[in-house]
Amino acid sequence: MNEQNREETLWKYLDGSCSEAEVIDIENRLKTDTSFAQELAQLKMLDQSLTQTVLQTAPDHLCSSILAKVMQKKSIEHATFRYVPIVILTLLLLLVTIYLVPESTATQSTLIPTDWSFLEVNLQISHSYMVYILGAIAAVSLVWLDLVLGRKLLV
Amino acid sequence: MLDEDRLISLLISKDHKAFEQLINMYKDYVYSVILSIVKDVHQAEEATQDTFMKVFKSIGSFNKESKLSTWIYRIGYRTGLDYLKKKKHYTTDVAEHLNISSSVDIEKDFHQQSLLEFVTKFIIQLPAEESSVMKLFYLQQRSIKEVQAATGLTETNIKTKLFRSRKSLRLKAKDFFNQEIDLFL
Repeated sequence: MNEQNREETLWKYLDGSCSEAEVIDIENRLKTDTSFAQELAQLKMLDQSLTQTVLQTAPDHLCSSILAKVMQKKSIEHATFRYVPIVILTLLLLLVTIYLVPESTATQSTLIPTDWSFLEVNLQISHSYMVYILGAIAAVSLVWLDLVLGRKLLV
Repeated sequence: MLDEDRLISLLISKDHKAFEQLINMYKDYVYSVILSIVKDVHQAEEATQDTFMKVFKSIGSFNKESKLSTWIYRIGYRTGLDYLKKKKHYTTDVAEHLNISSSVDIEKDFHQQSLLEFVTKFIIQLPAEESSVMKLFYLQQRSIKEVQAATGLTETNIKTKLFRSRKSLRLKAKDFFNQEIDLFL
């Protein structure tokens, strides 16, 4: 058995992964070969030290930090679910407005009559301004949503 | 203390207390493995948090083919490697954090150190893969199969890394033994 094989066999012996025949062979040799026994003693000490030192203690606050993150994630999921209708409503409002704006006048900034009869009101409003207003409402909604969710989506 | 099956089912139903128990059970283990990879205490802390967030998010996909601990180690190991790729240079002295002399010259000063300090320092200075394989091997009750499941490395690769690392440890500890062996035996 050369030195490398010897060391490898001894590590295997300490790991408990030797075959029965190997174990008998090693134990017989330990009785007669003092240098072999000394080598095993050294490896045993290193092995015990490895067993004792592999585990490091995580910082005390780690558990609470993780739980706080989990809670934040849960609240984000909850808030997202809760405010989805608002986002959908805002988008619907935008779509209705776009639908109501006649294509030919969409870019004009003059006062153009819009058919708001379905609301039983008679409004005259600038389409350009209307688009800006609704855009602003959508942006404010998103900023507000962003604040509610506690994260920075827009920045 | 809940048994593993009960714990898993509670985790799937996003039970807060079960998750707290899981963190307390595995935080030191995950932190140790990640620290051996990233070698930076702040990054290790952050990566450990990320690992548990991933566990929380994907516990539903845990198929029980491996032990829960192995599955968590696998996530931790990969997260650690991701952090290592993102930031190659570490800034915090791990040895200092672990209350070990910050000197990196093992050969010169190990006579003054206890064997435990010497071994801890040796593991820290190993390359990420060797260091994490060594840790996982001892944390997983010397099971090569569990290390394989956690790292995705081949059995031969793990055995080679393990043997080389331990051989190197023994060589570096040779002088230590020459001086101290009488005290221990």
